[in-house]
Order: sequence, then C-alpha cells, then structure tokens
Amino acid sequence: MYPLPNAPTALPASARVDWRRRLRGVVRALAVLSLLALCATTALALIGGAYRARPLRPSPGDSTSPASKKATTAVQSARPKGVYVVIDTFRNHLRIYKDGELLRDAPCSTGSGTVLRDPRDGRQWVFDTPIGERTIQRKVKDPIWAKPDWAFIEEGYLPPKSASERFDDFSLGRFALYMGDGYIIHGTIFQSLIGQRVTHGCVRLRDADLEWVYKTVPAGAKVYIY
Amino acid sequence: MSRARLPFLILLGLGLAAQAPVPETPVASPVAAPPVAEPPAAAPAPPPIDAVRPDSGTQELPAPVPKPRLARKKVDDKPQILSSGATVAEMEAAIVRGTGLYILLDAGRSVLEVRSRGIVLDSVPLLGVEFLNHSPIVGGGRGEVPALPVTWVVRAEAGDFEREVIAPEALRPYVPEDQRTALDEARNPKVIASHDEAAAPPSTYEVHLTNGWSLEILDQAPRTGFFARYAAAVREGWQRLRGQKREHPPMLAVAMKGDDAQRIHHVFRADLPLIIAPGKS
Repeated sequence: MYPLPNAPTALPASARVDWRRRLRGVVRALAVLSLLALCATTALALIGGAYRARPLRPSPGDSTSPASKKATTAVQSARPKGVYVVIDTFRNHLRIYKDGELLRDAPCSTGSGTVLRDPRDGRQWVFDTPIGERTIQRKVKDPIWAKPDWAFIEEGYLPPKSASERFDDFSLGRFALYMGDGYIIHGTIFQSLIGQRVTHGCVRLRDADLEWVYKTVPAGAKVYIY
Repeated sequence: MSRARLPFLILLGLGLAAQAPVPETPVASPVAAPPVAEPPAAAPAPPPIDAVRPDSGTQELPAPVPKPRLARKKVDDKPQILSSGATVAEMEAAIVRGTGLYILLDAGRSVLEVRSRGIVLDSVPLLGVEFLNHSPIVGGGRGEVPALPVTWVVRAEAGDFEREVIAPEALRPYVPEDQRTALDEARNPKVIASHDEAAAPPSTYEVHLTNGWSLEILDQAPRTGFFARYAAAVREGWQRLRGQKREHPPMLAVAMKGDDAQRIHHVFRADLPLIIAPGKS
C-alpha cells in the first residue's frame, strides 16, 4: 500500500531509541574485539623481535698519518701500468684501458656456465669464465686449436685417438691471446652470438675488435675478469 | 573524545601495523650443498670402438638431467685483512697484494665498487646502507655496530643458480664434420639437452660473512619504522609459538636496483674481502 500523501515519514521515538541502543552494542563489541586483538598482537610482538636500524659509527682514523700516506702510495703503485683489459662476464663487455683511460669497449661472449658430463667416468666440466686477475701469456696469429676431450664429448663422440683429428684451424679466428689454463681471447665463426654467454670459458670477440686488441694489448698485460 | 570513536582509532592503528614488513632473512634461497663429484670407482669397460646406439626409428628424448648447483671456485691468494682502526687506504693496501677481487662499499658516497689491484672494475650506485640488529620490540638495547672502516670476508657465496647440463648417454665413434650425416647431427647431445633458459640471478640475496654477520642485498631500502617492526615482531612471535625459531644474525643491508644486484651476484664468493668505508675514500 502506498503511504498517503500527507502521512508522517519519521520513525516513532521508540524505534529511534532502539536503533541507537543496537548501534552502541555493536560498537562496544567491536571495541572489545579490537582490544583483544591488540593485546594478542602485542603479546606476540613482545615474544618476537625485529630488525632495528643502527646509525653508522665512523672512526676513519688519521688519513694524514705516515702509515696512511704510505698505504695510499702502495695502492697507487699496485695499479697496472700501461694497457690492461677488463672483462665483464655478466654484461659481456671487454674494455681496454691504458693508464686508467678507456681506449675501447667491445661486446664479447663469455662462459655459458653449462655443465658437461662424460658418461664413461662421470668426469665433469663447467664452462665458466674464471673471475680474477690473469695475464696475457702469448699472442698468436692464425692460431690452431688442439681440441680437448670435451669438444668431442659435448657432441656425443669419443675423443679420437689420432692427434691430427683434434686440430682445428678456423674456430679460433685470425688471432688469439692466451691467458693460461686453456683460457683464450679469440675470434669466432658465430659472430651473431657475440654478446651472449655461449662459450666454454674463453672470451670471443668480433673480428674487427679482435684485431684491434691483438695489435694493442701486449704480452704480459693484465686481464681483470669479474 | 566520544567512546564511539575509540574502536575506530584502534582499528586504524591495527591497519597501519599491517604494513609491508621489514625484509626478513634469509631472503634468497639457501645455498644448497654442492654435489660431490662422484669418483670413478670401478669404472666400467669402455664400449667397443664400433658400438653405435641402435636406431629405433623414433628419436626419444632422454629423461631430463637434474640441474646441479655447484660451489664456485674460491678467490685466489688470501689477502691480509687488517683489523679495524686502520684507514681505508691501509686496509686496501693490505688487500691489493693479492690477485683476487675485492669490494669497497662506501656508505658515505652510496656506492659499491668491485675492485682489483686498486682499480675500479665496476661501480654500483646504492639506494641505502644500514646496519640492522635484531632485538625485541621493547627495550632491545643498542646492539653491536662496528666502527668504520672495517674489512670483512665473505664466508660463503650468495648461491648458485641452475645450470644447463649436457650429459650424453653414450659416446659414438668420432666422425669428421665433413662426413657427418643428418642423423649424426640429430644425435648431437647439445641439441637433445634441456633447452630451458638458465635462471637469472636473484635480485635479493644474502651473503654470509666470516664474522657471523650477513650482507643482505635488497632491491629496496629496508623498512625499519615502528609499524613495520611491529608487524615483523608479531609474525616472528607467531612463528616462535609454533616452534619455528630462526637465527637472526646482525646484518648489513644494502639496497640497490635489481639489475645491479643481479650483475654482481656472481662476484660474491668465499674469501672475497669486503671493505666497508664510512665516507669519502
């Protein structure tokens, strides 16, 4: 039934009082629950703990002391003189410096990190480019690669008995700079893969960059790999 | 203040307390024990030179090889580590005699540098550096804070990530490349091996140090405000009630961009020196 046009719309007084009483009850219940929750969480917090930041406590020492000056000189003298190489194995970049000045920044390829297992005896190779300091031991033009056992096992072949079947005169490119322990900076026939981590530990460069590095970096130069 | 407003204020306080927490340790997955290289005990006789895998007609892929987690080679040439009290230059001078890498973390300049022999190989800008001590929420005390500069040494690496494995089941006689057939190429284990992309390094991880501290690499500054600590304390209290007590060594939290953290993840290896400098060095 629709209300009459002039019918009163306000609630009766008794209904308003009842509504407020109910609201007060709900609020009180919420307050009690909230208080209980707060007590519970506070109790848990008191049982547990958390990390708190502490301010730094600098005690830099006397940088003008003779010992400190001597140390500064020692650090400067430890720096490599002349040309040196820095290889970034994450971003795959090879940089050439001379006395701290950047001469060239070239993309390269470094170790893939792949693991190879020999099914015959479980022997294992990890194709990482090792980090740390190395030295260019020798440089070779038109290098010939004596393929180690892993180069055959990786493709599923037994290493050949004949040594002549191990020689490869094209995979290393036109130049090679040997860093010891079998690690070489060399060229590649896979120029499109430069910039990716795809090698067996060596460092590959594009032809133009390799030739420049070969002509610029002398034997005995330091190589810093990180 | 009316009593009706009190519960709403309490609820508001609880809501603020439920903020994102302070990162807890460990953040990265723990370092798995490296697989022990199996010695070739009683090596089986190698197959005859003319043994060839029978061609069944259909090429079945071998079962996936479990991916190893390997312990990386330690840093060479243990350097001499000076105790605190020396200057940054003296600490660095003691380290540069070695051929390995070391890290200089300059809290004043907010930069982390990978160095060797006194030269900067890479530089990473930092979002923040803080010493953190775990303590009760109330009355926790000051905690231990080392005097800077100080040199620490990494005890264990930040953990390896999955590697692709090439594991041929059998080896066949060598065939020169110019004599290989399409069948030979199809049998190439490099093609058969798992093609899953190697997982990228994590952007947050923990590095354990020899002095019992840990270096926490984060991709955002840790939240150490009261409500964040309150929420973290509540969580830990709940874990302790359930019997899951965890160790909380003091830590040096270093925040940097995720890309930068991934970039230097592999640098953290056992015996790597770490110089913490308080200001300009």
